[in-house]
Amino acid sequence: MLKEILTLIILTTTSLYDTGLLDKICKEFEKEYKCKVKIISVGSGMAFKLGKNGEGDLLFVHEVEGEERFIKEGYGEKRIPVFKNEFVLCGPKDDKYKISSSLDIFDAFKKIYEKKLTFISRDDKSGTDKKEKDIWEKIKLYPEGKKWYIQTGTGMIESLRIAEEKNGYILSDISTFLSHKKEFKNIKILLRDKKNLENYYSIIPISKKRFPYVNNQLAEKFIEFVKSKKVKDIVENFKFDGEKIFEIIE
Amino acid sequence: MREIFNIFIVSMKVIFISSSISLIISFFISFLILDKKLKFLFLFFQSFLFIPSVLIGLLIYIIFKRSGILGFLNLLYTSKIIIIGETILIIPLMVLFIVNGIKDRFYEIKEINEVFCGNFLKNLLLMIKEFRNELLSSFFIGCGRVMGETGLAMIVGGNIKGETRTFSTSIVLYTMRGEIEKSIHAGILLFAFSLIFNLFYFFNSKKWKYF
Repeated sequence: MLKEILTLIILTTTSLYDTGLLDKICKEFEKEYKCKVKIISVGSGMAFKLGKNGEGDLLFVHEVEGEERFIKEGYGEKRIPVFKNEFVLCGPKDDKYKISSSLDIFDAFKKIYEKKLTFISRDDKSGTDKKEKDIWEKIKLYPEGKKWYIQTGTGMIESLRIAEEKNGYILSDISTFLSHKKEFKNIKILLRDKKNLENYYSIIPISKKRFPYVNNQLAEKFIEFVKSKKVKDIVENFKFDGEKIFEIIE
Repeated sequence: MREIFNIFIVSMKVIFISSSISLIISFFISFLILDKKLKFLFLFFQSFLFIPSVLIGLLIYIIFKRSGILGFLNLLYTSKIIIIGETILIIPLMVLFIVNGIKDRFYEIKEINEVFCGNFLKNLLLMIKEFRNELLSSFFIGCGRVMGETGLAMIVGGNIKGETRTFSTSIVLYTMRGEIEKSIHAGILLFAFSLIFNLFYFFNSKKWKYF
C-alpha cells in the first residue's frame, strides 16, 4: 500500500518568498514532519482570494487590514504575527532632491508629489502596494494618472528593476531590496522610518469549519514549528549585507 | 473602460508594427533563401521556430538593461523594446511560412522575369505583386503569435499601465490581483481578436475554396 504523504499548501506573498527565507524554513519543516510543502507565491490580493476559495491550508501575508477582514468574514479563526521588518523608500543614489533628509515618510512623499519625481507603484494589490496607497491617502494626495507615476503591476523585484532603469523612487520592503542589492547600481535606500513603516508578517490558518478538507492539523504544526527554536536560529542567521532582515515576534 | 482602451491601443501598436517590420525582413530572407538556394539558412530559421519567447526576452533584457551593452539607449520597459523582441520572435515563423507558400511558383516567376530581361528590383516587385496573398497570410499568422505572447512582453515590458500593458500581460496581473472577472473580460477580448486574425488569414489564404 502506498504511504500517504501529507501536503501543506501555503499561500504567501511574493515579498516573503523572493527572499528565500520561506524555502529554508519549509525545507526543515518537510524534514521534520515528513510531509510535502507547496508554496504558492502571489500578491496579497490574490492570496486572500485563494484563501477565500479554500485553495490552501494557511495564509502567510503582511496586510493587517486585509487579514482582519479575512477573519471577520469567517475564513480564518486567528491571526498569528510571526515576523517583523520594515518598509523603506528607495531612490536614485545621487539624491538630488534631498529626499533622504525628510522628516518622515509622509514628508518624503509630499516632496515627491510636489517635484513630480518618477515614482514606481506596484499596483498589484499586494501588502506593499496597500502600504503605499495608505501613505498617499494619509497625506491626501492622489498621484494616480499623473505622468510621473508609473504603475507596473508586477512583483517586488521586477518593480525594483524598473525603478533602477527609470531612476525612480519606490517603496519596498527591506528584505527584497537587501536580498537583491547587488543588482542595483542606481538606487539605494534613502529613507527608513521605523515608526510609520512597520511591516508585520502573520500566519492565518484557513478555517476548517468553512472548508472541511483543509489540512488544519499540519497548519497548526507549521505554526508551532515557526515559533520553535530551530526557526529562530534560521531567522537570526538570515542576513544580507550583514544586516538581519526579519525579526521574530515573541 | 479607459484602462481596457489603453491596453487595446498598446496591444495593437505592438502587433501591427512588429508584424509589419518582421514581414519586410522575412520576405527578404525568404527571397534570398529561394533565389540563392541557401538550404542551410532555411534550416537555421527552422531550428529557431520553437525557441521559447521567454528566452528571447531574457536575452534582450541582458543586452538592454542599464549595465548591458546597449543600456545607454534607455529602451528597457518601453513599448519599443517589446516591438523589437516580438519582431525577432516571429521572423523564423514568417520565413518558414513565406518560403513554403511561395516555393512552388517562385522559379516560374523568376524565369518569366528573366525572359523579359528584368533586373533584380523588377524581379522583387513582380514577386511582391504575385505573392501578395501569401505575404498577407503570413502577416496575420505573425499577428496571432504576437497577440498571444506573454513571457517576453512581461520580462522586457514590465507591464506598466498605459505604456507596456498588453492584453496577455494584463490577464496575468488581474489574476495575480485576484480580480478574476476582469481577467475573464480581457481573456474574452483577446480571444475575439485572435479569432478575427484567424478569419482574415483563412479567407485570405483561399483555403475555403477547397471545401
